Amino acid sequence: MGPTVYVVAFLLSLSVIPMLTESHVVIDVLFFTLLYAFLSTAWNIQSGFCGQYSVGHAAFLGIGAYTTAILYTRLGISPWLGLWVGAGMAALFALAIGFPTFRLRGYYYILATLAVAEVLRTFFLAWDFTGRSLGIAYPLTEDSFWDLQFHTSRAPYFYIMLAFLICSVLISHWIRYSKFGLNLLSIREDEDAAQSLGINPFRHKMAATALSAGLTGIGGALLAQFNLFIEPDTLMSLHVSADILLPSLVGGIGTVWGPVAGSFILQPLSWILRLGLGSDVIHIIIRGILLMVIVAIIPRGVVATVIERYVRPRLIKR
Amino acid sequence: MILRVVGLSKKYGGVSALEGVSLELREGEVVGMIGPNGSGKTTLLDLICGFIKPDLGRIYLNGMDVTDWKPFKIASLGVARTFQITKVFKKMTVIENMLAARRDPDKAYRLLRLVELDGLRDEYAENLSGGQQKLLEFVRSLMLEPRLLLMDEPMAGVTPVIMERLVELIKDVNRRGVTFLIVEHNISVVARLCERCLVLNNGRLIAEGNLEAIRNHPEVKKAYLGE
Repeated sequence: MGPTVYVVAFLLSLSVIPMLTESHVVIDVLFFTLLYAFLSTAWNIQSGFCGQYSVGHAAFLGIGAYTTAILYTRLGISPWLGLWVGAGMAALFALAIGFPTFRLRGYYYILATLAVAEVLRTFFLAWDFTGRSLGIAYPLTEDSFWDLQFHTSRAPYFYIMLAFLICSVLISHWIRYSKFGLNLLSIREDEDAAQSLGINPFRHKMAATALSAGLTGIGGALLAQFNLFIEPDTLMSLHVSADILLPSLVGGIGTVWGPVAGSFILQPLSWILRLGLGSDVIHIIIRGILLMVIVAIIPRGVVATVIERYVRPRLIKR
Repeated sequence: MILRVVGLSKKYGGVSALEGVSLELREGEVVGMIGPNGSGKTTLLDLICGFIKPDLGRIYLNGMDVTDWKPFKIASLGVARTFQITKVFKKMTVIENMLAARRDPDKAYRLLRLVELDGLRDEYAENLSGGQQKLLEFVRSLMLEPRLLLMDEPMAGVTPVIMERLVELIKDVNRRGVTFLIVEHNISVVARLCERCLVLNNGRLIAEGNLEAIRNHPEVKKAYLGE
């Protein structure tokens, strides 16, 4: 299992935190850290493993959130069922983007994800069914597992998110070391060589994006339940897509643990800056600069580069 | 007849890369393909593998018309390919390169030992030397137990030691019945490996036969030496 064991052990050890503090701030920051680790793990499956970079994952987040919220508020369907429907919708949507673009090479797919996410956000802003710019507010209930609403203590949100994150890390690990995962990596590395080994790139890209988008849709549903309010701009803007891909870039793209490590660096940092500086702008600027520096200097990610340089050589020489 | 190519033509813009090329490979042969730069050798390999589609002509593998097939489907028929510029999966380890072809660790280790890369199995492929990458690409293609192996300049940029090893390996694999079509500029390697040779010039097949016959062929002399 290698490093994945340590990641899972670390995540499990976090479960004591709600027993130590009742601070809403701590639990909330932790929730978002886990959420973005989860979302970035999902993003990494198609972008890190298979090399199909998406800059529009916020669209899948939005679809998952809206589907769950609409099913609950209009039809009274529990979010526990709705989140799977949301995942399915997001996956179908991802396949619809991939179908015309995965046969092409180059930047078509990236551009398509960018465009589609923006169009969808604008569409949701204008559509009565999705509540236009007012979005959808949940009717509040008492604390209820079935309705996925917790008010007296935020800890259940944390535990649910933690469970989903651990599952996603295990899925990511399984993919990375399966034949399916090796196929994804080989498509990322060289599509021609992969084909000459009998690997069908189109089908693998479609599978990877469906899985990635489906997981992201689940994340959207959980985020909707956490906020109990959704609206297009906070959910589906370009900066949300950036928040989803950044942990992978910072931690180590194409690794199982990278998205988790990245999120544990970025999210607390971002919240400390936001709360400490009392500004909603400065942390975005700092994050932007960070992204540029990382992409320019260490494209494989901070944690991955440190390990590559200092840990791995020792392991190999033994 | 493992491979039959009939009247293949391919144009890029107004330029003919290949014009009416026909050839046949018998099971178990090692056939060399030579010709000046730009004569269409790589284009021909790309057509056989399905990476590009011909304007005219058909390609048959074991009697099956595969002209319109996708490359991965042609590969699954037992056609492997190595590239002029080595295409190892750089950010994957040596062993992962092997397992991406087929998940058979025993076979992978056996082949890696054969080319003495087993000690480097956990090293990223990008950290191997150029010659080691050629060896890796070659044994990776063997993971699929191909019936036909198309090699594009396997000896380009390779040290004499590794060249020697590659020649022996190709002979070895051929003895087990695998057919080879090898594009190669190094004539002494061609002489050692190939009983039959094809010569391409300006997209046309201008000569065919053993190396001796080809050396004395007037068209070949003209192509290489001018009038």
